[in-house]
Amino acid sequence: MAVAWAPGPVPAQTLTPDQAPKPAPGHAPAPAKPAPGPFGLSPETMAKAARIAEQIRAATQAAAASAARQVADRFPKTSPATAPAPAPTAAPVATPAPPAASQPAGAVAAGPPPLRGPQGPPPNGVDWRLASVDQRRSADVGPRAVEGLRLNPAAVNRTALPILLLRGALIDGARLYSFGDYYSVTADMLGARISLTGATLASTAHLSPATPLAASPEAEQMVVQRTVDGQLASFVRYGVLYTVELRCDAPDDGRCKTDAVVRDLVARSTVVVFGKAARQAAGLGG
Amino acid sequence: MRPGSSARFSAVVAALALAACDQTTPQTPSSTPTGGPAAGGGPAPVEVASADGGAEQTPDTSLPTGPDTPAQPGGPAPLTGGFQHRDAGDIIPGSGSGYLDRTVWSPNLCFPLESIGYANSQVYGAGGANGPPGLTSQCDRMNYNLPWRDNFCEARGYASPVCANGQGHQGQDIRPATCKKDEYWVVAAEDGVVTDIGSYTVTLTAAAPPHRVYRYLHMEMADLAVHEGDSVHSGDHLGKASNNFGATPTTIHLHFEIRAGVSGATTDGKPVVLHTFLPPYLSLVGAYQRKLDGTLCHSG
Repeated sequence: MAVAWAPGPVPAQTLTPDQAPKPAPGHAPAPAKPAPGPFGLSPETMAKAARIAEQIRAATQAAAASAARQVADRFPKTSPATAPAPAPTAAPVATPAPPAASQPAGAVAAGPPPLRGPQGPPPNGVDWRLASVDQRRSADVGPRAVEGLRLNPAAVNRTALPILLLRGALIDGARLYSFGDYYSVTADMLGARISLTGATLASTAHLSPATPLAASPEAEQMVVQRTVDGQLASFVRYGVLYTVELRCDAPDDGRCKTDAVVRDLVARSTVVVFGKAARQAAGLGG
Repeated sequence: MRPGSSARFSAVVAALALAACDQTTPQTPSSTPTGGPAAGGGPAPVEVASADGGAEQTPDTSLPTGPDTPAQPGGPAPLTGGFQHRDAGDIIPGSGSGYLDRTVWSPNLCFPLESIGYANSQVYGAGGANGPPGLTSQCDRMNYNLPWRDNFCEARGYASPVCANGQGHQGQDIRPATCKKDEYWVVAAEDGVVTDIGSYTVTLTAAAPPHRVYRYLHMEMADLAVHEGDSVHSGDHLGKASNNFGATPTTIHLHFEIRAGVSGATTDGKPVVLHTFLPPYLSLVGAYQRKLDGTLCHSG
């Protein structure tokens, strides 16, 4: 599914998939070309792709090992989860370790009960084990948040992802639109709106290594992008690609000029809510 | 919310399209410093007396390009089997950076205007803040003519990781059939749900994976055909193209964005997954060609 919707490089004029990508104006011209490889890519490009694929594999293993260490720390006696957590199979990039903000020291006094999650690869690449830990941590505020925001219970129950909500009363009402494997929460602020989304990594498209991205990901793969009307932050947690977006009504609204507010919103995005579909996917029953 | 699909309307649209896309009299680019499309041909624009401003007017939306800004090739517009459009990434020389991606990110996209449209730059076109000297009207024929021109990586202050220098315009500007606001329908690019409506933005989230997010800017917000939460089908009316942009109007156009989650590698070779802006140009070219071919966006 990851590539089915993005059929690869397509020349501008013919829209047929059988030609190599043309260097765009402003980029260095392609080197003298040997025989093209698969998809018309040059051997250099294929070699670069192989190197990046190896980096992705290494990052996946490192993240899995990191996740395993954290699970072991959290389940010192009751959980058998000392083996590495299964790495996402459909996701191209490893699930990064959860953020420090979501693991306050000493927050779990007695340790959570053992999880009953599946032992095989996590559904949709979601790391339900780690998500469940944080869901328990926010169990005191999660249901109240859902109720307080007046989220549609049917939409919550339809969402087969850990839903992230904001800690703290920044908003008093929100609307949840769920497609099962993707959700979007829209909330109003004075003169602005907040949007929170979650999507499986399986639904991300792979960009050719020949098209490098001018981005500097931080912890949790967080990338903050200024938009026409605000700030957009995306990050990966539990194997889910989340976004937090601030959109201002006035183009010159100071809240949207810098990334301070959106970063604060990301830091507050620690309330984890499971609906029925998520609980089932996590192996926690409906 | 279904768009009008009468035979009469289709005939009008087809006639306008054919008039604008007559392959027997291909247009050649002008020799203006901006390398913009030539005047002549196309429908006669309708001049409107308004305080449209003629440019996107936030103070920092039109950043000057630096001395190391890569030059874009000029030259004649490539001809295609359908209508004239320049290559993806071939933006006006000196207006920004290029990009390498040639992915059609939304292969079944419904062209977001019910009328014909002209994809080109607002800021660097006639009447724009950085437009050609002497051409001060946004309704100049230069803007309502072929070929289409990409402006996804045009220099602005916005993040665009796909662009060579990491900044760009994040979307494609498209002018409707004529220089008249609140006249031409903007339609849903795909089946989905309207998940957000701002002061000058409408966000449509596609129902099917990968759940692309389409953003429409500068519609006539007081006259929208949808509300937040509405489910729409591809081709349904959303509202009308206009110039809404907060307190200060912009030119009459639709700013159209496609966003989705992508995985790839950074410029320094690190793997990355992010939700970001994707070049819509090739998807729009395909959609427009299908439109000219008479393919409907919806089956209903």
